[in-house]
Amino acid sequence: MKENNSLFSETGRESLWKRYIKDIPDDGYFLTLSCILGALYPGSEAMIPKVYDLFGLNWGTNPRPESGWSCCSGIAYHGDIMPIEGTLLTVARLWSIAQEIGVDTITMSCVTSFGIHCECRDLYENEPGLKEKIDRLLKQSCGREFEIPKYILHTSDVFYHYRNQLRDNFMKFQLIDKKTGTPLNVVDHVGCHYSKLFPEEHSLGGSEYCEVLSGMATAWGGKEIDYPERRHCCGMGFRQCMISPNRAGTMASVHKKMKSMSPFQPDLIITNCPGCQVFLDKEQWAIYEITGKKYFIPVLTYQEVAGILMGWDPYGVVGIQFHTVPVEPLLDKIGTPYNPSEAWLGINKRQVY
Amino acid sequence: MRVLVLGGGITGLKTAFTLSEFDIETIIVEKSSEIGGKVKRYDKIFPDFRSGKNLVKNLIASARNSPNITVLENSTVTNVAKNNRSYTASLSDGKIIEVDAIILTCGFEVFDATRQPEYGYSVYPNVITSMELESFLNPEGPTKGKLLRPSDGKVAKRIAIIFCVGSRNMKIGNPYCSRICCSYSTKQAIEIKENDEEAMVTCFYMDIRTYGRGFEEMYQYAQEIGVKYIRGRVSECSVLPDGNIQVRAENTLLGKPVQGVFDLVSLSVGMMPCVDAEELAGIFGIERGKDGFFLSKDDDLFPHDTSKEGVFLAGSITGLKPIRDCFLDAMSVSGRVVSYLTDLYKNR
Repeated sequence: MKENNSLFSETGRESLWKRYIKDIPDDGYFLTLSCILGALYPGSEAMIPKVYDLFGLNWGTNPRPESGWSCCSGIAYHGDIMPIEGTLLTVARLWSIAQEIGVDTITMSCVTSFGIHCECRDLYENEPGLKEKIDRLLKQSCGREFEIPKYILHTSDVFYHYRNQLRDNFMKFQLIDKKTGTPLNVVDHVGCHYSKLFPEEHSLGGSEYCEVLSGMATAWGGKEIDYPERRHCCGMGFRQCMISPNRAGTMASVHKKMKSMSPFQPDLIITNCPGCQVFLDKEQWAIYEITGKKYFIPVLTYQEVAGILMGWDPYGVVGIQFHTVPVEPLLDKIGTPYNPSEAWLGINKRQVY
Repeated sequence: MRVLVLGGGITGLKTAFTLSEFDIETIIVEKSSEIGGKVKRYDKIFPDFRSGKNLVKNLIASARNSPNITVLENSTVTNVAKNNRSYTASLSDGKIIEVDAIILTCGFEVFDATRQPEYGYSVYPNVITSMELESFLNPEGPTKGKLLRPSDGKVAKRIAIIFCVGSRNMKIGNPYCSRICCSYSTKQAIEIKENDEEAMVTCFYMDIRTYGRGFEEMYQYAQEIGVKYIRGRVSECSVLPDGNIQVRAENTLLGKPVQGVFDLVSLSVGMMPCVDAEELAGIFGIERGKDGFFLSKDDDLFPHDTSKEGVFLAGSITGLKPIRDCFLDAMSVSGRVVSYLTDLYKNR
């Protein structure tokens, strides 16, 4: 909300988040992928390299099995089935692969993974002798060497960094209601492991007024919505979503957020965490099934929002058909053309579903 | 005998006046445009609800009328040099003065509430600080004593007062208790209730530290007239569509999270060392503690002496004090300086 409605001072907020700025290099990114984002919202993750390429960036990744590339092991670590040493070793190997291809900035599409990389770096900085120990173990296990990377960035940091260039050079639409010309109400949901673990060092804007998503939303024409449960966790939590009896905790968290944000009439929720994206999207259906309450606020990742505003095919590229809450009402507001009959066409226009 | 008093707040004024009664010439150097300090802005002070403004008015009049006191406003010390047993002080307005002793009474600064962003100060208009609440409660203030919400000008009926903002907080690096916030906040809660019986005032506190004479009675009275106290630190304030503020806290007596909706939230901000503390410490070559306040030679035996002979401390420069203690400090440091000057002149 802007100052004209007198409930929220944009100037005041800006003065708060500007205390937490981090360096974002322009180029030279190593990209690591999420364990779940590509499977559940395939268009979303695929758009990261597409956008990197739009800007002609020097970036690299190496997902071939023979490269030794792996996940960060965050799920195992947070699920309590892997000790921190194993995670340190896995991450050290990823850093080693990045350094092998000559880049010193690790970017990852997963917020849990971002938290893991930041935590590893923090441990090296604060635990005397740990670097030497992991050096030795990495050498023993796979013959590699590693250094602590200069930059650890979430891919949303990179999108934030290039938000104005994306808007000015590539976007055909804005987060503006086509019929009324008013900005769409955008709720941001920043992943906890992005903004709450190391707010001073690694979160753009800190934890209370994190800027990474709201900055993109406002740059792209939307209106930032501040609501009481804005900083509340989506409820994913590995102990909730992995352990069946605790699953209600996830749904209750999403429900709490939905109840809190709905009076502000949001048009969309923008996320940067694969886990939050999944649960904020899918639990809305479960809440509807159980309570009959139909929130159905579209939930999109920042990459998907960027893709839609750039006019990329909502089905063929962005992949909105994988969403539980329909995204088409949002496309109608923005004025993006789409053809629902193309939602499930495969290669050679074959109907796959 | 001549003494420089740096700071024209209540401690500085009282010190100068007390020294003048011993026929000691005093020069008050005040950086702002007017002596009187912060207390002159307070309509009522605790625990007796007397007028702060009148109290300071009398002190200012005494200082201005005394032939032994010179007041230099819009000025500060930029350099000092020791000459045998006296000091030459250079002032920002170009004056150079020779004095036998220097007393630092520079007071404190109010904590910047934006450093605790979880409360939304400067973001949500209906979250204000206790200093702003003080001006709202002042009949001569911007709202003529009415408690009006900044967002829409409506009368606030449900008011939350959050204690310990900027105090006893390791995260922001202020582990100390500011000592006066519990009492001034309770005073404000009483004023709100006395002005409007229907107002609901809820205080969120960590511990109630009303330790001075009459302070605890004031706290008891607040409860008798219906001020509600909830023990627990507030975790977050958020705005609702109508501008109301939702406050979330933990009630540590019940062991439960609680939340409430209020028209207005006041943050009882703590105190910090004066803004130029670091610069002054450098100029005078004296030490400060980890909390940023100045260190005396010995807290028990020589509470006003510093490591530099002839330089003394008084008032909140050595840690937060209520008004009453500042006056006691002023009189105490005067006694110490008289004794110092007597020795100094005896040996000349």
